[in-house]
Amino acid sequence: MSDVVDAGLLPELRSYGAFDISACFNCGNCSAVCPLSDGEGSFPRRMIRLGQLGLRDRLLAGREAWLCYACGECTATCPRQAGPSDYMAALRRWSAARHEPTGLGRLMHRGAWGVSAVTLGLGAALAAALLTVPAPPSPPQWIFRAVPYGAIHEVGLAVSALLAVSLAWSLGRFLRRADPGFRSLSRPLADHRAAAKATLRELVQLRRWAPAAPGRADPGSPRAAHMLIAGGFMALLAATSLDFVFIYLLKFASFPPARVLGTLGGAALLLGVSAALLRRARAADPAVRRSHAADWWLLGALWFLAVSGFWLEADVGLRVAGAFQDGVLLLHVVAALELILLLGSGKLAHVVYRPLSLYLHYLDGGSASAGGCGGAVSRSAP
Amino acid sequence: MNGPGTAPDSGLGEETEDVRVGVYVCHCGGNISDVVDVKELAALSAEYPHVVVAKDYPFMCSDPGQALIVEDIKAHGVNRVVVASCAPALHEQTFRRALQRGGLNPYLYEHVNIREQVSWVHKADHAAATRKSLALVRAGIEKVVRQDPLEALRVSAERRVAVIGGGVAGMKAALAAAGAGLAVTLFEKGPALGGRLPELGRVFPTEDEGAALSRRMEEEVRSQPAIEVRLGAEVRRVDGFVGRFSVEAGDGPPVKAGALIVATGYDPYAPAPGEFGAGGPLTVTLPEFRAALEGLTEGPLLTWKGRPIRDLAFIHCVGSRQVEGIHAPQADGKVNDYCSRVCCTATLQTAERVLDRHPGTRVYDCYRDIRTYGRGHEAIYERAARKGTLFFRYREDAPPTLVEEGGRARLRVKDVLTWDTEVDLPVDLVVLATGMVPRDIGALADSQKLPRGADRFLQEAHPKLRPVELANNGIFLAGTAQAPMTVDEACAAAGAAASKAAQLLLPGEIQLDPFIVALKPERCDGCGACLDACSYTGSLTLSGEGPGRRVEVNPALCKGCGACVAVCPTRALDIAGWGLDQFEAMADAIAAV
Repeated sequence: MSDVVDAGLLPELRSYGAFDISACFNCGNCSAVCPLSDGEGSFPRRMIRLGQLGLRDRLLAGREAWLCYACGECTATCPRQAGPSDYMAALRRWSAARHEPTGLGRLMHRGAWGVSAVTLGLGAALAAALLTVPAPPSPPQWIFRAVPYGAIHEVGLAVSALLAVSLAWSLGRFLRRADPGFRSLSRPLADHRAAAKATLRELVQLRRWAPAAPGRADPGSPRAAHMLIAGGFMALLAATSLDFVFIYLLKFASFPPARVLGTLGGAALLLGVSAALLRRARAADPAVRRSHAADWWLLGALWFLAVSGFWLEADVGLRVAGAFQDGVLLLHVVAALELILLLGSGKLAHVVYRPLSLYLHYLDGGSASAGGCGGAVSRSAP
Repeated sequence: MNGPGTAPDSGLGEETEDVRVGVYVCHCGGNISDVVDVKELAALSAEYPHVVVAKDYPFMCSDPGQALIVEDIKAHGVNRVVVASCAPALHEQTFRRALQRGGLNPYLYEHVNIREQVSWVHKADHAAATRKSLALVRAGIEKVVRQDPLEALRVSAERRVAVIGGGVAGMKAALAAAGAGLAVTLFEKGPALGGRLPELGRVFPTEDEGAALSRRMEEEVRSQPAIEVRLGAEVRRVDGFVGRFSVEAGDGPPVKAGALIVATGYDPYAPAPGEFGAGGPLTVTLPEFRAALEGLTEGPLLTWKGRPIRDLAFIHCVGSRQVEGIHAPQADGKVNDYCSRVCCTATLQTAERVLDRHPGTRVYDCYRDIRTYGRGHEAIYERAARKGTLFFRYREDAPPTLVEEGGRARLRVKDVLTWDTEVDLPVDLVVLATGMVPRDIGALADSQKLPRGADRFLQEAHPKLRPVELANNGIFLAGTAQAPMTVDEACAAAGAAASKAAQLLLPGEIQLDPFIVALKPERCDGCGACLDACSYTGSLTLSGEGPGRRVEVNPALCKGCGACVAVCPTRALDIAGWGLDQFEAMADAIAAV
């Protein structure tokens, strides 16, 4: 049974941001320069070819899209200006949208109007929920006048539950393809331990991003910006969780370590996101010479989240209150919840897919092309 | 001095003049002197009988090098010259002209090749190379001392060219020849001018309509009073020789012409039934498809014979670049191993056209190699690719096959670009990019014995030095009779052929090399053995009856091949400038070294 070519996939991927990929003539320069390509992997040319042929299942079964760090080397080298790096980004958006069950991901990637529709629609629904959910009385703190503290946690819990269900579904679908028969489960425990260790190290250090210069990160580099954003994100997640445990569950009046952690995380996030926004606005390097509306949305939302967070911090410190502050709080919470809800549908999905892909990658011995695509397609010609 | 057809006397035998040979050894800037000891060669040559001067020089072909010869002719009375240097094809004419400038007959010259035949092939043994050079130089001396002054042959020429074939190349050749001042008769076997041009659709890279281009050229041809057009005039026979051909075609009287331009064109390759699915309802050849495409209504989907075509595939190299042992041989037992050159660009141009006119139709292109070699052709590839053509590459031993699965036709391709994976393309129509095959021009080819290459196309005398000339004197090539080529290449070839014809015929007289057969009539007994050996019909004829029967030589037809000399039992025949006595002396000289 041969694979049947479906020329309809390429236009679809184009709407996800693979703007120029039709120009590709399969020369393989992208694979030759890719720091992740290991000779046999033909990374990312193989993903591009699979996209041209419309072999959806093989693409969805692959984990390569998630291993790519979008360094942009391939786009800089492409003799046809086909933007392989844009293609890989589009492939990630498309894969995430295909795996997740809500359909929001697909809508998000129909360009600017899709992003606006999802953002505004979801935002309105979340705001309505925040303002109407019956909540236990807030602690007598002035900042939660319009949006009760309890409502934030109620809605937050519901959103997290929704996310958990959606992610479980998405990851299940991903793993069923990327790890057929869940064969990796039968591997010895030592392998799993080693893979987990390697994955964790890579997630923190991002060494594969720049294997040529694995030393200290250049603070202006995209790799450093990514570290700031990821670190800030993790710190904020930890701060929120601590708040939830100590204040909501254990009824502490306040829990200063969470505040400190949150402030530091917010600062890192603001710095990283600002750098990333600037890089995109300037189209500073090949990896960001074209941006999808969804890219702007994500960075914009993160930036707003960080800025409004500090605004609220200042409000608390200065004991300022009023309708404007109420509005800022509402928007801040809505933005945070939206990001959580859409975590599995858009670019942020790499937060879950990349660790998983890395894990499987290390479990399979660490070859860029190992597994996933299966059959002759995953091996180059003799 | 000897006229054509009579025997030269041996210059040496009569001793009517003092034979004074000059020998010149060329270093060829190290090409020769790095291997051959040129000083010693010159010194040893100087000791040989009849040699009055022997010199070596870095570049004999340079102006000062040639001046050496001219000076020595004047200063030392040199009257025979040997230059030991490169291949005669390069500089024989150069040195003959130098002799002329010195006031000598240009044929009292011998060119000895010690570069290709010595220094380039005997790099390892310098002493032996020098010895071999000496043997060759001595042979050259022996030959030249027996050389007679010769005169180029002259035949009067008809200032009319017969152009055979009224397609784009024929029309272009006729126009160019007429423009240069020749009278032209343009023979077309069909009922109209234009050949295949009107069927080609839009021709790249200018995107002109073939039919419109053809009409425009025909109008020019018709309005040119020097061109006589004969339609329905298939050539039955060509007699005569350069300067005086006689062409019989159609019903008209024979036409006298000084030269012929063969512009007989090509046939499109006709795939065998079943070849890439040919003959079935799903396939069409590229020429058929192109002829029809412009007439189809524009719309989202291409419609072919009432069927909407959602998926359209092209297959390259159908009938071209065939490989022995893989492809079925053609009627003559050979495969078409040549590239037809136009089909790649034509296919991509067609693909782009389909995508422009029918944006809903998906286009696949299955190729072996893409050869968009011409100016502007790569841009066509570029556009076809960017507009959405999806490419697949197949190997010659795994051609795409048509299969049926799930009620839909599919083209199964083992795709090199996907790591030799077998993929299926859904297809509603498959266009076979058929190439060109040589055309049968029986009567014309037979009556003039036109040479063909291994690919069966007519073959030029030399691909670089004589690209539009056949080995047959006065017969030129224009267009695809010679090889597959594009319309613009055919026009360029036609222009070159026309200017060659004009160069040949305009002086009204044609000069030919004098190295042709020379007869000693007193030795001939009229046996006729030479006629059987002769490959150039009409060069030798028998005249007279009984004991008075003698061979006669037609100098315009004789090529000087010497086949007759070899079979003549009475040694009545010889080649002027290449006499048997000369060969014998050369062999002795070589054996003596």
